[in-house]
Parts: sequence; structure tokens; C-alpha cells
Amino acid sequence: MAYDMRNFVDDLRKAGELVEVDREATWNFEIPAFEVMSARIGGPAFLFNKITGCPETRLLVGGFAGTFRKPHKRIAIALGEDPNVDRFTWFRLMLPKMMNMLRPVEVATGPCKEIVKMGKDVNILAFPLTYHSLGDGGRAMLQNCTLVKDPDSDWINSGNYGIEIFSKNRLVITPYAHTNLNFIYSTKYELRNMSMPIAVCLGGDPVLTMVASTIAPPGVTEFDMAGGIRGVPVEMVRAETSDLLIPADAEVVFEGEIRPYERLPEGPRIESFGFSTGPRKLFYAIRVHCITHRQNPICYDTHASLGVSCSGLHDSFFAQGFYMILKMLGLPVRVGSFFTLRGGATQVYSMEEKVYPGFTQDLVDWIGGNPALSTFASHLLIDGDTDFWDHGDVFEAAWTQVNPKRDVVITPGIFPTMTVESSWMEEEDFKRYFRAGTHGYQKMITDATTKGEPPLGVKRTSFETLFPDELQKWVTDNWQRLGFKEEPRWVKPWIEAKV
Amino acid sequence: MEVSYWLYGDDFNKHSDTLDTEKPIEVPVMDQREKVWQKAKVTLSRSPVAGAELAGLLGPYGEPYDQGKFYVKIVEMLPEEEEE
Repeated sequence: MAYDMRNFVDDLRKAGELVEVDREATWNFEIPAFEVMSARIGGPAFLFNKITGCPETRLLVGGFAGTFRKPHKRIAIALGEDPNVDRFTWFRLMLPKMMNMLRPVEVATGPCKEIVKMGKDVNILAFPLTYHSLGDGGRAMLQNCTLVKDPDSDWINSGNYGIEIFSKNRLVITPYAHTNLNFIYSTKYELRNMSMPIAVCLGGDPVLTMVASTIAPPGVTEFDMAGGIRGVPVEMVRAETSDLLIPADAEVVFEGEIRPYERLPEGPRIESFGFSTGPRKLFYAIRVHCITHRQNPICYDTHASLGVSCSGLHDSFFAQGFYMILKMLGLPVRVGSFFTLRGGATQVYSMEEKVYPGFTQDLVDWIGGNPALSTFASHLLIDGDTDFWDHGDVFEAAWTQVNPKRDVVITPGIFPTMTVESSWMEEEDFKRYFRAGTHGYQKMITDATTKGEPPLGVKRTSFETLFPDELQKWVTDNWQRLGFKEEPRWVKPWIEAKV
Repeated sequence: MEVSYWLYGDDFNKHSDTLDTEKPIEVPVMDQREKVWQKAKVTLSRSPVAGAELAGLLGPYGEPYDQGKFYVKIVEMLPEEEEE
């Protein structure tokens, strides 16, 4: 029996990370407000057992939330890993497992088929899909594992997208430009005037949602990575209305199709880097033909503000995929990740060695040629001895090691990152929805690495540079033995690690 | 102020000449109980009339304004496009 969402709830409970709420609560602002406050104070995950208007369903929020230094805190519980390892160790722990891919296996049936509703019986609104914040365009699923298939191969793509509920049988999905769903749909289905089958899955093994949150290179089935992490293949069953394979133990599956050139309005809504997006724009419309689910399903949800499950998934897995691509490209980067919590959306590269002359221009070219690297507008290069996850250190580097005239490159042209306009749009639609989902950014690349010239070549006054190595180790090793409760933070092993 | 319906400011401005005229217009409205946009035939008024409920406006980024400054009466919820 594979690990599933119910095992995860049990494990969160055992770890003291879960509070169960048996009084009636509503999806309409109330449950998201609990999640956001809990994220602010480092509080628990919640399982709501009774939800207004949604009998026989439960809702888990905050299940993947962590802290800034340990965003993987609850994710590690689901994977049977140590939740107390630091973020750098987490990256090094996960990458080889994810790269050790195992193909999923098809099984005859599974718990996700306990209840099947087709056609007129489909009612998305019967599930506790939440309304997150004032001014949002609608109720939304911001944590999911959405599956599509390449029509030309056996590549199954899974992703975690913002999906708005448009009506009882329509959804609107908003994939970023860099996503493989966007690539598969726009180049392989829509151009051939074909409808694309799609399945939006909630629940199942939490690792499926985690890998869905990575950026994987085109052609890589994320569920293969899930098999690598677990050491056993993911079990999948055939969907009811298409030949898609879906996780056998998913809690809820919304099966449908995206027809060519069919769009519906979506948004505005809050985004994962802590701001609201908008205005309301046209995005891909999903017609839902079938819902299958387990008895008394556990849905899950995340807000998209700071510190919630969305941040945990982004910082633990989205960043992991980004790191994987950098390593596969062979860039001289020790760790590549991005800041969401308090850092806006800046991609940061911790460099293995001094940046060679012209590297910044190379990076501009890589960003331009790789949609995944092109996700964010701002890119910052720092030295290996700058603590990657310390905003103070990074901020200091950005202000003291940068000659604005030489070290900041702003691309003259705009990198177009979204093109989902529809052929049936008229002038009025363009006016109302602005550019209809077309985003364009100039890119800013800031080289904050040491250039070896005064005062920039002066060594950093940190614990790691001020004292002999043996003394640093002695203080760190004996810190808690000497009666201090705080966990010491010694970054020298990170600096010296080969990754 | 609690309102029962949201409308987009753009739509409201387009039809502001129908305020207090009981002339029905067709606009998308969001019922606060369902939080789903649906096209409806409605009338707009500055003061309460039978069957009318408080409404507010949303800007393009979802920013609410003019909450409770006018009323919306639903004449008819229009069916969404049915699947063939």
C-alpha cells in the first residue's frame, strides 16, 4: 500500500504539527485566514473536518508549510526525512534521489475510483475549494497535481498551477509561460486544432504534489522523479474519459479537456511571491466532464501569500528543479534558487568561483534561451561565501560589491513570457483584459561577486572568515552543550561542499 | 460594508445612465455566497427597492470601491453556455 494523503495527515498529527477543527468552518475567507495567520506565527497545519456546504469532505491547509530556514519542515515528514536539516543539506539530499528516476506502473483500479460522477452530475462547487482574499476573481485551487500527456510520446507532464473555478463544470488554468503544460498545449494540441485531455488531481502521495511543483526539463515525467524519491514506482490507473494515467490513490480527480482557442476570464488573485496579480485576463478554459473521488475525501489547499504551503513547495521543490537545470547546463553555480519570502522574486546564483569576464552576458543568453531560467525579472550573482539564505548577507553583497555602471546589466529588449491571446478576442476584450495574458519583462542581472579590488576585495567580516577553522568547529560543536538553546548556524561546510 | 454582489467598475460605468430607471442590463455579477461570476439581467438603483441588495465595484486589479453605494436587483440569472 503506497503512502498517501491520509498517512501524511497521521504523520503530521504524530509530529504535533496538526490541529484538527471539528466545528463547522467555511471555505469563504475563513479557512484561508487561519492558514495565513498560522504561517505568520509559525503555527500548525489544520485539518477542517466539517465544511459549510461541502458535506463528506475535509480540507487540509498548511500541510506543506515550513519556515524560511526550513521550508521543507513538514515536507520532510511526508518523505520520512529529517525535518531539521538545513536548506542546503535538503537540496543536496533530494537532487540525487530525483535524478534516480523510476517509471510509474499502471494498475487496474484504485481508491480514487470509489465514487464516479459524470456529465450532469459534475459539480465542482460541491468541493471545499476556497475563496482566498478580498478582490479575488473567484474560488481557486492553488495546490494540485495537474496531468497532461505529450501526444507524440509517453511523456506525462505534471504541474502545480493556479486554477480558478469558473462554474460548476468549468475551470480556468493559468500556467506560467515557462511551464511544460504551456509548451505541450500551445505547440502540440492547439496548433493541430486538437483538444487536450487534462486531469486535475488533489491528494494521493504528497510527493506527487511536490514533484509537480518542480521545473523539470521538457520530456522528463515528474512522476519518474517521485518514484526515485520513494524508491518505488508510482501506481497509476486509467482515467474515465481519456487515456491519461492518474494516481491510483488520489483523493479527488477532475477530468476534462482544454479545447483549442477556448479561453475564459481569470483573476485577479494573490500570487506566490506575496502580491496580487491582475487584471482579469483570458486563460485556458477546462471543461470538466467527470469527477472521481475517494469516500470522505481530504482536499488540500494553499493560500499564495508568504510562508504558507505554497512557499514551502516553492522553496523546497520548485527551486530544486531550477537547481537541477543549472547543474545539467553545467553552469559554475553552487546553488541556484530564488527568494519568495520577503525577497520578491529574485533568482539568486551562488557562484562556485569568481565570475569570469563576460559571464554576465553568457547568463543573459542562457536566460533568453531557457524558459525556466527566464521566469523572473531580477537575477543576482553572489560569492560562495555569502550566506545564500541570509537576506542580510545577500543585501549587503548587492549594495557593497556592485559598481552600478559595470555590474548591472539591464537587457534592452523585453523577454516575452506569455502569449495566450485568443483568435476570437475583439478590440473590447483587449481593452478590458489589457494584453490578454501577455507578460513582457526586461531582465536585470546584477553581479555582486567579489572583483578583487579595494574595498570590494576585502574579506567578509563573518564568523567564517574571522577565526581559525578549528575554533569555528569547536564553538559550533559545543554550542548547545554549553547551555545555549539556539541552533548555531555555521555555513563553512556549505561553502566548502562540492555540489 | 458587507455587500451581496460585486460588479466590475468598467461595466457599471458603461451602464450608469440606467441607474434608478429600472431598465435591465446584462452584466457579470459575483454573488458573495457562491463567489462565482455569472452573467445576469439586473437593474441598478441608488436606493433600496423590493428585491434589491447592496453591491460594490471592483477595479481591474480586484480592488474594491464604492461598497454599499448602490443596489442591484437580479431580474434573471442567465444560463451559462451549455455543453453540446
